[in-house]
Amino acid sequence: MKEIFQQTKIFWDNYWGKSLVMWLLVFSILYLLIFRRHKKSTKYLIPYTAVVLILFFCPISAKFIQKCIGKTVYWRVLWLLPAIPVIAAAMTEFLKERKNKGIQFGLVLLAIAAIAYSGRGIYAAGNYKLVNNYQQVPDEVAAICEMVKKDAGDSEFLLAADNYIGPYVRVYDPSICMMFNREGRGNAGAGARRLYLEINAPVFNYTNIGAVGKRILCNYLVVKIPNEQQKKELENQGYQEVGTAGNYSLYRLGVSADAVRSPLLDRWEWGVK
Amino acid sequence: MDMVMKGVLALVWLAVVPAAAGILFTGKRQLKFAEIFLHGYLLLFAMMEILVLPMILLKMPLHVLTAVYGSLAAGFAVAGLLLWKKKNRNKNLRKKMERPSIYFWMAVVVILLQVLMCAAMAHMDADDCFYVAAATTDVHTDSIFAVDPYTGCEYRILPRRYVLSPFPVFLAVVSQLSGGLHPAIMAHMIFPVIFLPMAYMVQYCLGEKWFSGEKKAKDIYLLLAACICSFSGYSVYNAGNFQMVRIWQGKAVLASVLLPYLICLCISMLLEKQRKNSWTALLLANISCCLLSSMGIILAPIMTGCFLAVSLVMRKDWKRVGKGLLCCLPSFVLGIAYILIG
Repeated sequence: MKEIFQQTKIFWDNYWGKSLVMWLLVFSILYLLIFRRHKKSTKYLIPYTAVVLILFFCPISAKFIQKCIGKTVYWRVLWLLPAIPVIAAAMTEFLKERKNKGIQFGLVLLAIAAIAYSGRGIYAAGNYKLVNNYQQVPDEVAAICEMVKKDAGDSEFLLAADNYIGPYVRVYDPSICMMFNREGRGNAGAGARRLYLEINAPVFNYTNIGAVGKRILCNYLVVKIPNEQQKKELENQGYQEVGTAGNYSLYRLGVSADAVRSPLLDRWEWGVK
Repeated sequence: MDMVMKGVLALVWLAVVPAAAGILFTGKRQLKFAEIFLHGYLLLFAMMEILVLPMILLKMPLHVLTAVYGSLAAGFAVAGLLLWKKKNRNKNLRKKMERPSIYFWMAVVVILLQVLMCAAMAHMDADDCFYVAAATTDVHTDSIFAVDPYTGCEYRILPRRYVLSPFPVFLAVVSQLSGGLHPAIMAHMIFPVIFLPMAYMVQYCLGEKWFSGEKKAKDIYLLLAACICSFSGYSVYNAGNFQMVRIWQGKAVLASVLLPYLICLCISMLLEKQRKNSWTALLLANISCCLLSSMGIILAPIMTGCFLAVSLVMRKDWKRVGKGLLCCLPSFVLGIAYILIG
C-alpha cells in the first residue's frame, strides 16, 4: 500500500512539474470554500474535486484503477481533476466584484500574469517548429520518402530508419513498408531487432549496420553519415547512396530496389495496394 | 482535387454537419450554438464507435464505412436543418445580440493565436506513428484496422489496446469524405482548427453554469481558461498540454474536450435541481469517450461515478443515480472487454 501511495505521489509531482499551478489550484479551492461558499461553482466543483482526489490517492482505488488502465499511465486519472474550471472560476469570482472598470482591467492583467508566472508558456517549452510540408512531419522525412519512392518505382521494398525518422515515414507515405518502427515496434524477428539496435546505437558502427541490413535483405537504410570513411563502410556491405536529406542519407542495397527481396515480403500479407 | 476545395469539404464535414446534427438535441429548450455543436459531435462520435466496432470484426473495407457514416451524418444534418426551419418558421431571427465585453475579444485573440500556432506550426510527436499512420494506412489499403501502421504488413492479431477506441478510423473517414485529403494534413492542420475552439466552447458552457446572466464574468472566465492553457507547458502530462500540442490525437480530445464536457453534462443531469439536458446526451458522451481513447472507456464511467456519489449525497435522488448508471452501461461493457482482452 505504501509503495502504491509513493508511486501515486510521484505521478502527482510529475503532473505539475516544477510549476506553481498546483498551488494556484489549492488557493482557488480555499478561496471558493471560504469566500464563495454558496456559489454554484463551489457547490458543484469542490465536492467532485474532493472525490477525485480521494480516488486518486487512496491506495485501494489506485490499485484497482491501475489494474484497469495500466500502472505507467495512472497519471491520466488526473485528467478528471477540473483544474482549469476551478482556477478560472475562483479568479473570476474575485475579479467580477470590482466595480471600477480600470481597476478590474488591471486586475485581470495581473491574474493573467500570475497564470503566466505559475505555469510555463507552451511555445517557450519548445513544442513547435516550422516545416515545409503540409503533412507536418520533419522535412528530412518528407525528402527521404519522396526520394525512396522515386528510386524504387513500382518495386516492393523494405526500409529501416532510426527513432527520429522512422515514426513519421508511414505518416507521410503509407505505401512504404518498414522493417520496424518507433522503439522497434512491429519488428519482424531477431534480425530486425538487431538492426533496430544498431541503427539507434549511441555510437554507430556502420559496418555492423550494413552487415545486419544485408543479412536480413533490407532494401533501404536511412542513416546519419558524418564522413566519407563511414560511407565506405556501408558501401563495402553492398549499400549505395541514393541521396541525402539534412543530416540523413538514404542507402539502397544493390543496384536497384528489386535487386534483393526479403522473404518477409512474401511470408506476410503486406498492405500494398 | 484542389487543396482549397478539400479544405472546404473538411470544414463542411467537421463544422457544418455536426452543428446541423446537433440541432436534433434542442427539444423545447433554446440551446446555445456551443451546446448544439458539442451535441452534434457527441452524436457523430457515438455513431462512429457503434459503426466501426462490428465493421472491424467483419473485416469490412473503409469505403463501406465511409459511405455509411457519410450518409447517416448527412441524414442527421438534413434532419437537424429541417427541424430548425420548422421551429423558426414564424420567429424573427434577428435577435438582438448582447454586446461582448473587451475580455471576450481578448479571449478570441488568445484562442485564434493558439489555433494559428497549432495549425501552422508542427509539433513532432512520435505517437503519431500509430494514431496518424493508422489512418493513412487504412486509407491506403481501404481497410479498417487490418494492417499494422508500424510496418505495413497485415495484422496477425488485432491491436488489443486500440481496437475498442478506433479514433484513427474517424480521421481516415473524414479524410476520405473531404475529397481524399491526406490524413496527416487533416490531423495536423484541420483538426486543431475545429477541436481547439471546441475545447473553449466547453469552457464557455461551464462559464455559463457558474456565471449565468453575468456577461462580463463569463468573458473573463473564458479569457482566463484560454490563458491557463497557453501556459500549460509546465509538464507533458497535464490536459492543457495535451490540448495545445497534440489535439489531433483521440486522448487529447478526450482530456481537453470530452471529459470537461462530461463534467458539464454531469452537473446538468445529476447535480442541478432542474435537469437542463437529456439523458441521451450523457449516454452519447460516454460512448464518444470510448471512441477517443481506451482511457476514455475507463475514465468516463469513473467521472460519472464520482458525480453520482456527489449527487447521492446532495440530492438523494435514486432515480437520477439509476439513470446515470444506465448511461455508463456501454462503457462498462467495453471496459470489461478491454480488461479481458488487455
